[in-house]
Amino acid sequence: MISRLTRNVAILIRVICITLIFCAPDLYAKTPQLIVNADNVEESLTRNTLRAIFSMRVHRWPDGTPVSVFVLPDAHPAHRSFAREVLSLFPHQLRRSWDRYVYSGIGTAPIEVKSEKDMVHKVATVPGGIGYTGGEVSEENVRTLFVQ
Amino acid sequence: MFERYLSSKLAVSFSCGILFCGALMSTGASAQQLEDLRWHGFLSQGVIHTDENNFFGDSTDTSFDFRDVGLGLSWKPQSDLLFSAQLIYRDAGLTSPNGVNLDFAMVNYSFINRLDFGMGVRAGRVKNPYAFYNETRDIAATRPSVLLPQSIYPEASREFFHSSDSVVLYGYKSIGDWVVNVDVLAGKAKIDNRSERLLIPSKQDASLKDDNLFGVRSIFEFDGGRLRIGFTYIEFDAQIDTVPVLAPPAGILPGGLDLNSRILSFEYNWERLQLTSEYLRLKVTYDGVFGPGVRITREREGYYFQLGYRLNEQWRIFGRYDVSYPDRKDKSGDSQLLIGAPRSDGFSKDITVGTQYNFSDNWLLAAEVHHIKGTANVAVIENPNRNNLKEDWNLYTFQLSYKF
Repeated sequence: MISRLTRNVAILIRVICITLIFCAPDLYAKTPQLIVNADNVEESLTRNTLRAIFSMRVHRWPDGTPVSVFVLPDAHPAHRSFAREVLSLFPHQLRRSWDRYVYSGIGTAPIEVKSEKDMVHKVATVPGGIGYTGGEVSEENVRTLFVQ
Repeated sequence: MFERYLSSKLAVSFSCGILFCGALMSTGASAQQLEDLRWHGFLSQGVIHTDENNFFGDSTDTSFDFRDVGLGLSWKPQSDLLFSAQLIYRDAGLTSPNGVNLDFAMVNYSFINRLDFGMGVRAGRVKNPYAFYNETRDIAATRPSVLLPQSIYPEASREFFHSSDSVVLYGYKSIGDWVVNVDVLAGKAKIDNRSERLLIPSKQDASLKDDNLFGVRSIFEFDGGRLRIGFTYIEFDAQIDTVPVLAPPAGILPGGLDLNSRILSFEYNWERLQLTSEYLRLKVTYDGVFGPGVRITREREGYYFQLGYRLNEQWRIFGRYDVSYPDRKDKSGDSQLLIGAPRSDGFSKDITVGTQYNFSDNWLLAAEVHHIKGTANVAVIENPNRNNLKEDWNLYTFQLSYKF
């Protein structure tokens, strides 16, 4: 009787463990989210437009609001996954184009924030703000945009 | 000469004006305004050792005369207007003048800025749009190596080609996965005793006047920079002003100088591997300088192939083959003997291997080894006695740099 119970418990533990192993990546893996200030009227942006914005070539939204680009440090996991998965670029490629602008005087680099919390706060408070987070966000003054 | 003095004075006061406006803006400015005003800077210190021939100082005894310090400021009062200026202190042996120089000071105005198309204008002291690396050649982090390929970016003529007092009209257009960037420049090159000595084919007392600089560069980029193709054309013309003391060939006569350079640039990026290659033809014509009605033309040819491999976000290794011929019709250097120079001044073939280590976002450590055959890129100013040069030589360099 006892041995049967032990065996059932063991099976149950095994099932739970296997379920956890298979579910864990889904529970913890996050998809980077593109975020803009709540006043932004765009519904979605193409990857090429996003590249133009994050490489600092475009300074204004179509409605005339100045674009303010916020980024996390180069080594931040959310920055890496946003660059690779959303822009299809490496962090070093972005850095190289910003350096080109800054050190030859023909443009500026994005504004760097320390954490995802700061990122959400900046995008929420600066009109024309655009940035990203590592996963889902729940903040009233920020909208998540769909990338085509 | 006075005009030149005046224009450099103007450029300096212009940049001081920018700094002053900036200082005013930052005192008691709100957080938003503070972000519109930004500082940046860089510094690097290198070491060079050569077994023969001097490069950036007394390098056969190991030279530390290889440093750059830059400090810049940009101010963006509104999204389509940008003021920027940068001062640079540079030491590269006798190859570059020591001391602080105004690197750039300009106003940028973008009058069309749509998602797919834009145009604007820049004016002031600008960095010349020239091939892939000219504008950022002093910033270690944007260079593929400690020393740029000398075939396209010769250190000996750096000051002359690097920046100018010009107006640049620029634009971009994106079509599908392609983006094209175009810059058109017109203005005045920076001319000093050093560049006059480089361009005037005589030690006779002479100077350049009525000079004009014109350039066009277009860069086509595919898929966010996976493929980049560039075309550069740059032309400089001037009059050589001199009072002949001796008739040619011992002396020179007043006459015209015309210099035009065409460069083809190519880069392809795989996930880790990067292939870069550039090819240059630079034609120099002297009209009437060596005798009434005599036109003499010499064409320089240079190219390199470079393969870089990124091991991870910190480490990168590369190899390069870099070739220069000052006279493409005399690749063995035979005609150098006629002017009392060694044959090796007629070519340079440089095989380089090196590594770069980005140990933080701001710091970079780089090292490389060059095995060079030929002395075409060995600066005359540091090696005046050409017959003491050695054709086969090695150069070792190591550089630590910081930027913010």
